[in-house]
Amino acid sequence: MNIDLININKSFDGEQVINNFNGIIEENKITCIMGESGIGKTTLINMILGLEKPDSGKILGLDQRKISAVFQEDRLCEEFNCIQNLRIVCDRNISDKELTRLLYALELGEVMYKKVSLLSGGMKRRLAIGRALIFDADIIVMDEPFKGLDRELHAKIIELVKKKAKGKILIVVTHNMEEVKSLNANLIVL
Amino acid sequence: MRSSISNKRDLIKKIYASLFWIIFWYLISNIMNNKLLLPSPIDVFISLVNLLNTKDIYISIANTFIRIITGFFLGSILGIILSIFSYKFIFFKSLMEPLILMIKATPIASIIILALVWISSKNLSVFIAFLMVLPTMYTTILKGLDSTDEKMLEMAKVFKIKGCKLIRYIYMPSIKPYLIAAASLALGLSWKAGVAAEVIGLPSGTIGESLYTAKIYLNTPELFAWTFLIVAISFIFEKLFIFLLNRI
Repeated sequence: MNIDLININKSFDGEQVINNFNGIIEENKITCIMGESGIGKTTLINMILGLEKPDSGKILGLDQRKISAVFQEDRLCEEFNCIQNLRIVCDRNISDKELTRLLYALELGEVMYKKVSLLSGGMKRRLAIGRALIFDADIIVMDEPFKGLDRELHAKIIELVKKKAKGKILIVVTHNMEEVKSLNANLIVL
Repeated sequence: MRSSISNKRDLIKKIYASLFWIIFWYLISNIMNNKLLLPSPIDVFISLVNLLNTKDIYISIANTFIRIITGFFLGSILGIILSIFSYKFIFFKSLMEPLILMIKATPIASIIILALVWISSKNLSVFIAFLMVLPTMYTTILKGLDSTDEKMLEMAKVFKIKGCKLIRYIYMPSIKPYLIAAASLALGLSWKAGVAAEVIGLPSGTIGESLYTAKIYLNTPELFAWTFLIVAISFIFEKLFIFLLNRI
């Protein structure tokens, strides 16, 4: 089922951030959202995540569907290790083996028992991506997920995300046209 | 490594500072030369050893300890429950505000005397410790809950993190420093107020009663020895409790 964004309007303190926006996010596809800074990309995905409500307009296709996210900030539990940060969003029936496999795929295998507060910015970003991928979601929303990753990892993580997001709706906010091409994504420009 | 060296330095500094004040106390007591007004540290130490050689002291300590700790835990549990309600419901927070303010502002002596009208002197220290701990825990835990990162709460909402996981991973990290600070403050307060309640209520076989008896017989070294014991027990329990809290 597609996600339909119909006549969406949103303003903060009287300033119109999103003005009569219409768009379709297709089922089983990757959709990238691009646009200048401050144009309302994060506001739009916050509305999809259910964290903001549009002043007017409708978002159809979200009912009863599970959503996971990579936020602009990592929003990890800093006092806990990588495995624990993944476990937070998992069902009990997910084995440690599965979590370990994902962490190795994210090049975090060596630090899986390290406290998140001790990890580098890039490692935290990858862990946030891992958390979004391990959660049993129908829709994955990522706000600039590959920002700050070095070149080698960048390509590897994009491939991993593509593989794990197969059969789901993946929405990626990005400023990078190369990422749109690598993801082979539909494009919405705000 | 660096922190262990600085900890050692701090400890040495504290030992020197304590030694300085003990010597100062010794000199003043020698100048005054009146045990009744100010006994020397040696007199107090002898008195303490004598006290520790009697059986009754352990009964008194156990009686007072159980009552004050009961009051502490009851006050902590209720304080935490009320703070959660206040965090969740604004009207409840408004309802609690004047009550907490009143408990905090009322002089402890007035509360003790008033409480003696309502309850037996035996349970007075439980009630007083409870009343000292309740507003401290309530106010501090509420502050901790209010300081929980909104963005982490949003994350929890998106990933549908609920129940024990929400408490352990989202709320506990922000509450823990507040909980430790509150527990440390509340334990000190509950010992001070609890023993004061015993001195006024005079329940038999308690530290408060022993303090009062030492005062009646003008046994100042024993008075000092009891005071030292109260501080020591309160300090040891506080450190033990904080250690356990840190392991959560």
